[in-house]
Amino acid sequence: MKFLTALIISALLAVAACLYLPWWSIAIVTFIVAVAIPLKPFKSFLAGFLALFTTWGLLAWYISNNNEHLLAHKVSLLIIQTDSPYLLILITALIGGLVAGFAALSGSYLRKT
Amino acid sequence: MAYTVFGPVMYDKSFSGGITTNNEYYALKWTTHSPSNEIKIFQQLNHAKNYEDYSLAVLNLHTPGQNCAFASKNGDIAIRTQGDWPAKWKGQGDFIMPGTDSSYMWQTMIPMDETPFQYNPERGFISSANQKPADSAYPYYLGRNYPPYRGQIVNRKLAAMQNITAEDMMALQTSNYDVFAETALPIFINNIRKEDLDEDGKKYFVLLKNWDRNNEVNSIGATVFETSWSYFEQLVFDDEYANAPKVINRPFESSLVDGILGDSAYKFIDNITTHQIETLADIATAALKQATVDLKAAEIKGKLTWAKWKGTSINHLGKIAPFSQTDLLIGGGKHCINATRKNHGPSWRMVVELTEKTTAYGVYPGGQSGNPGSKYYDNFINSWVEGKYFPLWMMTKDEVSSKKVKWIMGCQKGYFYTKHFYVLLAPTIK
Repeated sequence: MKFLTALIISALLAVAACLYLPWWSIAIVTFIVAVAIPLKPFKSFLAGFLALFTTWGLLAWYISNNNEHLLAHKVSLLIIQTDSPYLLILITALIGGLVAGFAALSGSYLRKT
Repeated sequence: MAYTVFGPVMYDKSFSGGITTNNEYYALKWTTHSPSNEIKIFQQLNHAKNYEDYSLAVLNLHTPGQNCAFASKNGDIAIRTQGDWPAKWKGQGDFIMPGTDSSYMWQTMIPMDETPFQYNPERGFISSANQKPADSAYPYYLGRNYPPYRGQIVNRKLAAMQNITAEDMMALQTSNYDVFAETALPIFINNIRKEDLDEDGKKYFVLLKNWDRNNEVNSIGATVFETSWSYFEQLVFDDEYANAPKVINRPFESSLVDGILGDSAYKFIDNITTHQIETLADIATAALKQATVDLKAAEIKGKLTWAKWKGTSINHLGKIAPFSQTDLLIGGGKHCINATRKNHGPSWRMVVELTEKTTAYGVYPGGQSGNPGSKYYDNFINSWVEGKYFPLWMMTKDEVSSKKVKWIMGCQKGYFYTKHFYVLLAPTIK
């Protein structure tokens, strides 16, 4: 239950923060959530990771889909040298997940000390 | 920045353009260094109603000088090579000139009423395609670099056309016929020694011989001609230019073609590094032999047909490959009316029919959006490749309030404005 709460609140706060603050505010919010909701470190990491992985993954897919993946085709060729919008979306989700996961992990460790 | 009586010093010892080492200082004199108000020509042309208005309006074009074509609904046509042209003696300005000798300075400009122009010429049409604006009877020197071929084919076709429709003009603009090839092909066909060629060479020679001089998308003759001619030029001049600086002008294609067609023992044909005297047949055959190597390699890679060989590409300004469209399947060539090259081509095609209600058609290789994510980013490129045009909206006064109008930008004294805000952008237009 705590795990799910942490996950959902991380996702919501990340979306809200990114409306006004730069993208890396996801680290700040997941850190705060991990400090506020006590979980074992790995669980904290997982909560943050999954929250942002799904959020950014879904958002990126939604935006790109509305564009019929026109831009994603070109940008994926540019950045990862393969024509795959879905790979690009996956990488986006991974970046969000990892940043949030490690921020949450830091928060959890802070609790421990 | 150092300035001289001629103008600014463009190249000095610290900057040679990265091409050669440089121990000299070069100043540049250019008409754009003098102030002039070119926007006036457009503002006045926008209000012009007839030939007289046009003639007055173009006088505002000082630099850069351009051919200004004119057509009117009453049937008047005209063209003017308008600009501030320095009145030069023959050869002046072709090469770097000594800044210490005042006889090289510009003396005066060609008087406005002596610039080349045509008004309702007998032949019933005006045209310009980078050819020389006036013939050798013209009293002033106009420079040397005027490839004649596209002008020739434009004029030849226009002279033969009657009751021209817009579709006829579109077909004219997308013509892939190569007049330079027509001129130079006999040099190869009449002189190459077929028996000296290997199997591949013989095959390409047959394709060359049967080529109809059209640079169509799937033409192989066009590729054979282009490669052979390129090696032919090198074989003729490489020996004479062996000790010349790395970056130097070689004679124009037209000079070489005219030289050989005028005299098959053209003196540059001989390779001065060898003992014997080479003949035209030797050099032409050697050119095809060398070309055969490239052609065979291209054939294996499936790039032998003209469009694939030419590889016309519309590149993003930042050379970002995914935002560009490369290797378009379009015909034409540098001497065709459809003047496509690898990175160069007709960037705007337009046909305007001056009927009662003006109708116009246009196309360009690009799109109306600058956003690579938009489907309007490059959606015109295919139409351009296929030679299709879109109707242009010649808006009438009562159409201003039409639903089709998306955005209004206007001019008021001192400002450009858009629908809801004022932006100070440019000084007033007088």
